[in-house]
Amino acid sequence: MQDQPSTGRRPALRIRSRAPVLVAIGATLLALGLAIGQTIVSQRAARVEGRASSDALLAMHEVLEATLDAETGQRGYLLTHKIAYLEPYADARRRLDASLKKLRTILHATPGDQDDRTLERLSALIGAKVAELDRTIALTRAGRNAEALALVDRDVGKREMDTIRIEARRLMDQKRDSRLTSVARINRLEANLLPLIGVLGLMTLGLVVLAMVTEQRRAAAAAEAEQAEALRAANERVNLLARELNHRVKNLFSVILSIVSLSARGNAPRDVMIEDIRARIRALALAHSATQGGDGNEAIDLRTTIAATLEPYALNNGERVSIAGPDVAVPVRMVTPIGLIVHELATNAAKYGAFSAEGGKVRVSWELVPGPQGGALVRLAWREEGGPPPAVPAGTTEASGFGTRMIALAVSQLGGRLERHWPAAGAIAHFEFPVS
Amino acid sequence: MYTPAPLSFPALRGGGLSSAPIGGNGRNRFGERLLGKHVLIVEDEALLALELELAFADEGAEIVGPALSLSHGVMLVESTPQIDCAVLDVDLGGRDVFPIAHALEKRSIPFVFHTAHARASTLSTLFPRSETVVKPARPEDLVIRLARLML
Repeated sequence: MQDQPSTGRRPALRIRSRAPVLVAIGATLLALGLAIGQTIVSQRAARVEGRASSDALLAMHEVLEATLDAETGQRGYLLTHKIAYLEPYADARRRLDASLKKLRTILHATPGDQDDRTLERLSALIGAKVAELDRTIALTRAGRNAEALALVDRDVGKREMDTIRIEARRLMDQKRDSRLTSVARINRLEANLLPLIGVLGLMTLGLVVLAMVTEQRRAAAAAEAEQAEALRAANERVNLLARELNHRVKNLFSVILSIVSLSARGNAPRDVMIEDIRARIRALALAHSATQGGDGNEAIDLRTTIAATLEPYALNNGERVSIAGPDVAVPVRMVTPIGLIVHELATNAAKYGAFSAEGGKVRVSWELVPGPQGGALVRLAWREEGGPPPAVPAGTTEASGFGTRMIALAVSQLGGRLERHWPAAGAIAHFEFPVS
Repeated sequence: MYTPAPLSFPALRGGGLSSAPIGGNGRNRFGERLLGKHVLIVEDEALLALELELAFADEGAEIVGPALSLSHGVMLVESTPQIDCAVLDVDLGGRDVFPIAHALEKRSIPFVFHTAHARASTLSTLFPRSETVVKPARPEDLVIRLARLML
């Protein structure tokens, strides 16, 4: 009977785990960063080396130049005895000391056994050369020029100078080579750097694309899940309403069957009996005409229910019925008993009361008052006027007995109370029942 | 042991309904078992309650109730010393009739559930000795089922 709700949720779009890809990309990025850093450090070192080689080359050059300048000064002085030649000599000696010191500093900064030994030999040779120069100049100053020239003539100074040149050239060649090596290395490292940076850029781009795709899929999956949830909730609601409606229909069938079998009791003629059944079923249908396909808590307007049930008696725009009262919402389960009560009162009025006479009228009014145990109480009054003086229906007929009994039970179903009076002016019913 | 019950309708005492119900007594041999028995009727729909009341009265049963609410039913069970069997509507304005069913079970009083919800299996699990009649049912069927329980 109960439709199996289609609870089988559609499987949400699966997001494949991208963790391995992300780890791989992260590792590659790290390696790339390390390689680029390493290259830059190496490049910087090569540049420092190259600069040291250049500096050494320059310093060596200065040393050689100063030595030659010193020799030129010495020769001039020895030949001319002019003291003016001693000035460039002294200057060259100072420069020689300074440049030699510079060279030593540079070579010490880039340690190498070869360099150290070359430097020691050069220092010794230059020391010897300088000593020879000093000696000849001292001899000339002391007036022993011939001795000085003889010394020069012995070619000691020339040989020393040649050796210095050879040593200096070797060092300079070596430094030139080393500078070329450094430059070549710098170029090679630079050539490596470009593709590394290119790969880094590509990886970053890939990462961004991956992140975008993942985010898009996640959003799509979330939207789908939301839709499925909304669909499920709607389904559930429809199923609930269907169950409630199913229940309501069964209940109404039971009530209708009861109406038939109850109305069939008694000795009323067949046509009267059929008319009673029709009227009761019709009253029930009218009372329920205001209900919608709501859930079990659906609330129905009391005025609409009463007006619909009395509609067959109202005539010409309701001149025989007046209905007045505040808005009251009653649960749908109260509609049947309220409809039955109103119908039985109306049937009575039609047979013996206000509805049986021309110009007769029924006034239905109610008020909403606080109930004894919280909640609210509807206090309704049914007043007939303009009809014949009512006879007390003291259960003298089957019809009235049945009606009275049914009203009592319906009132009991509502948890309410009902009192009826029959003054000469017209029948009165006071009826109250709680509404939550 | 057997006292013929007067052919009156306790439910309509003072109501004056004549004692000539259509489709009357003697239809079935089970009905006799209800003669003079005290039958509790719990049913929240007034018309059904009245129909059941009259149907059982036709069989000569004494009617306890009918109770139209859970609280009224509980009160009746507590205050009525003699109850021989019962018809219980399951859903009483949104509340289950089970407290009444438990009270009856404790007193070993047989009863029949009368429900629009086809939950017979649930009901027989909760109350193994109970029977279930699905609404809408003919009152005669209820009489037969209840009479059978009285065996």
